[in-house]
Amino acid sequence: MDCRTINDKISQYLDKELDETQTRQLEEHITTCAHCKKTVDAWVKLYGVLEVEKSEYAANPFLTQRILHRINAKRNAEYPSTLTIRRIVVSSLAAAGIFIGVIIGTLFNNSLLTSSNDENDQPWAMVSEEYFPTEIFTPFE
Amino acid sequence: MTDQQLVHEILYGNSQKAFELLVEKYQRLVVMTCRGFLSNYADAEDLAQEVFIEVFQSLHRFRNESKLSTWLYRIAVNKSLNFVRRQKRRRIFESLDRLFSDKANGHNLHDLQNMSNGTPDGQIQIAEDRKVLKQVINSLPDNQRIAFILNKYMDLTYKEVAEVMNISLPAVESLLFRARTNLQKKILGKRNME
Ligand SMILES: [Zn+2]
Repeated sequence: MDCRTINDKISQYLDKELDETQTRQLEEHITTCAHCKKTVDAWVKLYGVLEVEKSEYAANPFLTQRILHRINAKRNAEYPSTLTIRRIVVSSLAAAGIFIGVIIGTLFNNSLLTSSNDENDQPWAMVSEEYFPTEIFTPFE
Repeated sequence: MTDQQLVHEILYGNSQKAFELLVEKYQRLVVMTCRGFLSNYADAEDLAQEVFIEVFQSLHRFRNESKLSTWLYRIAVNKSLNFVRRQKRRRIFESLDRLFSDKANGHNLHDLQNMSNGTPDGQIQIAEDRKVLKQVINSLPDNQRIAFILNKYMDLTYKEVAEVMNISLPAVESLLFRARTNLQKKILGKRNME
């Protein structure tokens, strides 16, 4: 394999997606080609950086309380009676039923569009916005 | 408690405890998904709060036919993209020149190119590498970025990525292939293309 072919296969190699033969060819190549070896090393480093970041997660014991606090603050400020909230939930449920029907249609259309159109990377983002529009996602505001 | 039971308890049992359990169970998923898109941890945690608030407020719309985690990923991805877009808009006003000039980008990419050279001042270099890497990932088109982050950052399988993004398996493969090609081009580009 020449350098260009190797170059195209490095990330698949690191994802262990190459078959045995290709893996062997690539490994042989990088023992002799400093150029490609450097690319492999850079990818390894790149993934390493991701791993470092992933390892930094720490559960926040206060997160739940903060969320509940914000939910309650919102509620109390705008809807003093829980009965009102129930009514809104019920009516928004009905609206949501209709809405979801529409969205499923849109989503289906758009996902077809996404997979068939290589260069256009926006449709999914637009779908997601339609799927989770902020207005209907915050019915209590 | 299963997810189904949790959702049922929150919706019909009006159970705060159940919601707390849900947040505890999925805190990592939501925080880290946001973290994948955002440039700092504190923002990711703030945004995770918003994700859970939205989950709480729209849980009645969740259908059990998809997994709860799939739904959480979608909301987290969506909120993150919106956050990043807002941030980008703000930054454009703040410093159009500095951020978008070819010179600045070229300089950063050059830094990343030299990542494999190794430098003595490790910590600073790692932080710097990471900043550059984030920029490069964030410069991918949305779909490629989502697929890459879900697969490489959240370790979702291709099938799971397909579920979250609501696209076919071959579409995921193609997105990831293009994401990697783009990343490699941006990171190592010219030097290795000859
Ligand atoms: Zn080579």
